[in-house]
Amino acid sequence: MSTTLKIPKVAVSMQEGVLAAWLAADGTMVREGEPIYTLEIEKSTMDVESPAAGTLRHIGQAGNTYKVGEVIGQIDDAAR
Amino acid sequence: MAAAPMIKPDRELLMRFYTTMARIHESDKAIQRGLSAGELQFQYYPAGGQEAIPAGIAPLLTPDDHAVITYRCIHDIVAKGTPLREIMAEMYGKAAGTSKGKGGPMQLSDPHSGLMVTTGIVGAGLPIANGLALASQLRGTGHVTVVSFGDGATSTGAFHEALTLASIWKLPVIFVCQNNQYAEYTALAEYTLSDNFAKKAAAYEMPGVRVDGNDPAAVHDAAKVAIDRARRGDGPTLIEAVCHRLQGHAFGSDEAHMDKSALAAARKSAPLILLRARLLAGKICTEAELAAVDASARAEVDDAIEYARATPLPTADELHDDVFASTAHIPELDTRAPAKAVGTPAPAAGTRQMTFGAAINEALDIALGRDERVVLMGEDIADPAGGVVKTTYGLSTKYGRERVRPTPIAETAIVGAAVGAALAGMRPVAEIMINDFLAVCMDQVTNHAAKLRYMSGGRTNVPLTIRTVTAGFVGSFGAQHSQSLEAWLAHTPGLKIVYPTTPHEAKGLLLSCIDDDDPCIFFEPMRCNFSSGPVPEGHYTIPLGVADTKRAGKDLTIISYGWPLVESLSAAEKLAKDGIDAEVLDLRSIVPLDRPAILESVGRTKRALVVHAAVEFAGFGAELATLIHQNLHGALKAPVGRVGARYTPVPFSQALEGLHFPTEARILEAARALVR
Repeated sequence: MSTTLKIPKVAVSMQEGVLAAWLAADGTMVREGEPIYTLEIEKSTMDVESPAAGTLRHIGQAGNTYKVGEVIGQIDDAAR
Repeated sequence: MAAAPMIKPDRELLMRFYTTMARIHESDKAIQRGLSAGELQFQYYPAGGQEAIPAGIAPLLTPDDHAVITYRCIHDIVAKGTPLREIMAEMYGKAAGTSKGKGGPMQLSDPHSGLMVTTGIVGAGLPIANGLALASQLRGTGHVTVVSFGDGATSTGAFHEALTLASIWKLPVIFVCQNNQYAEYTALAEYTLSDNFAKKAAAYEMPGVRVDGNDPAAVHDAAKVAIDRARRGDGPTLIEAVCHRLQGHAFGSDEAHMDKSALAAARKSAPLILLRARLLAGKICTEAELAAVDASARAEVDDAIEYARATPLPTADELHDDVFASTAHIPELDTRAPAKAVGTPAPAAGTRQMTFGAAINEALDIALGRDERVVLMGEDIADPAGGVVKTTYGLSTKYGRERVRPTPIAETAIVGAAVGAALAGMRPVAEIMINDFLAVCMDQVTNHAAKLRYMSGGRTNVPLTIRTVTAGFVGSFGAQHSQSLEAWLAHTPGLKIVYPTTPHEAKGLLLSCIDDDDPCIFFEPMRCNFSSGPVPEGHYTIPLGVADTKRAGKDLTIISYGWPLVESLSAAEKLAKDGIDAEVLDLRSIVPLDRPAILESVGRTKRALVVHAAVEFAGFGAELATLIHQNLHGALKAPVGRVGARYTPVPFSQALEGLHFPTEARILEAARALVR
């Protein structure tokens, strides 16, 4: 099973956000709780932590704007 | 701050703390994982740093002891014993959630575990906790209510009112302030000069204890003293558990308002880390045993998440369920065909005459006599005052001050206590002296009484009655004592609104309200209070949502309720002299609404005039006019007319008051214009 990465809703009024930068490279193993990308909304940025351990697959492009809920990546499960 | 634990907690207790905290921690992490992945999308208020507080208290409580909590809640919910599957299903908005997906994390209830209310309104839980505690006190069960709230809640009026009432009533309630150093996005030092909330307790003549909220054993010891005291009947305690929130206000929110070095230090000495170190250092358990607890908590949470994902969403028919006990009372679902008003047979000739106020007194007397769950509370209601217009005179003498309870001038505390007592199965009748004063307790009325059934997915309900006087047009009560605010209330789903005019109906409708499983607001027009009419003896009820034809006619239907009905009837007699035969329909309640009777009558007369004491603009008459136009458009001979109060505050001078309110003259003018 893999975990889909969608743009999270991190503020009440948030409709979309910028995937400012990937902090972990495509294809690398990430740990649960490890910051994997930077999300930029309005006046703030946030490092989003990985919701799972496994291999990170980038789908979204750094620098692009995405709506809340749009898929920007996935994490293929490592055995826990 | 309270000293180190008085007794050395045993291994079993320490492991229980750890297990609870591990389950909280894993639940919190799982929710935040779902939010990070974008799978869950809601405002989530993390409880990291506060786990030790409910973990320390939980072993002292049974499911019969009640908890009232606030929206930063996962720690309190898990510790109270709500099954994780139901919690997570609610987070996912699923039908299998605690509230069938209608409450969400901010409004979750689980009476099976004793979790009666989670509120999204800061400070609002405290007055409700009083009511739950009152129910335990009146029943002599020895059960207690623990209400938790943040430090920010100590700034609210509800905090002050609740502690005032709990103290004077010696309620078995424990107020637990989880001082996490921040009120939403504002640091403690920026909103108060207080550096110690526990000492506020002294002003209410109750014990105030400050404990290290990072240490479950310290919390446990302080709570044990407080809970034992409450169970003994010695009254409430305020506990301040000092901790430190480990994240921003909500998931994803920035931490700019937080002291960076204090936050870093708090994260290093998080309660779970401290307890773990203590257990290992004291050789109370092994690393492997703790790992097993962690793994078991993770597995339980994983199972709950999988369950939540797999279980279905609520279906569309859930939308209207749990607004009231029955969907039949929901105005927009009412598709019944027009039908003649059923009304109520007039009392037989020779029936005793009594005033409206005396009829209410008799109804309360009967309710108190036949149902031990009935308890009255309000300002000045006990003897010798017996109410500001003597409506409750004699009842406290007959039934005692346990059941007819005078209160401080604290409307939020009154309604909150009634809500809590109702949640616990009592049938409280609260008095809000004048309906204008509803404004100061509207949160309890509209955010809690009205919504708790729905927010709990029907797991709880609030069978309370609020009696309230409208003192309009009795002469110079002015702008803050004379309004008729039923439209405010009608705008909030979940409230039944009853508005009698005659003594006979006042008695029968009030007894119906007290029997009703939903919250009822019962208006008492002071203009009717001293007028007499026939009232049958003994117990009888008049059903809610059934209009009464007060005068039959064929040319026009005047629809009214409350004191303007009297003006409408006298106007109808004058119209008759002009050859206009007006029907006068008394709604008696506006929720539930007797739609069939309205449509039948107007369908027959083809003209309608709505008359009410409330301001005409955006008043309930607008709703009635729409109902009639949408259903009878083709049949009407004239657009629906309205006569309400003018768009001004109620003026003091009687010269102006008579211009503000609907009078017989204005009704006559409007009726003649319609029939012309």
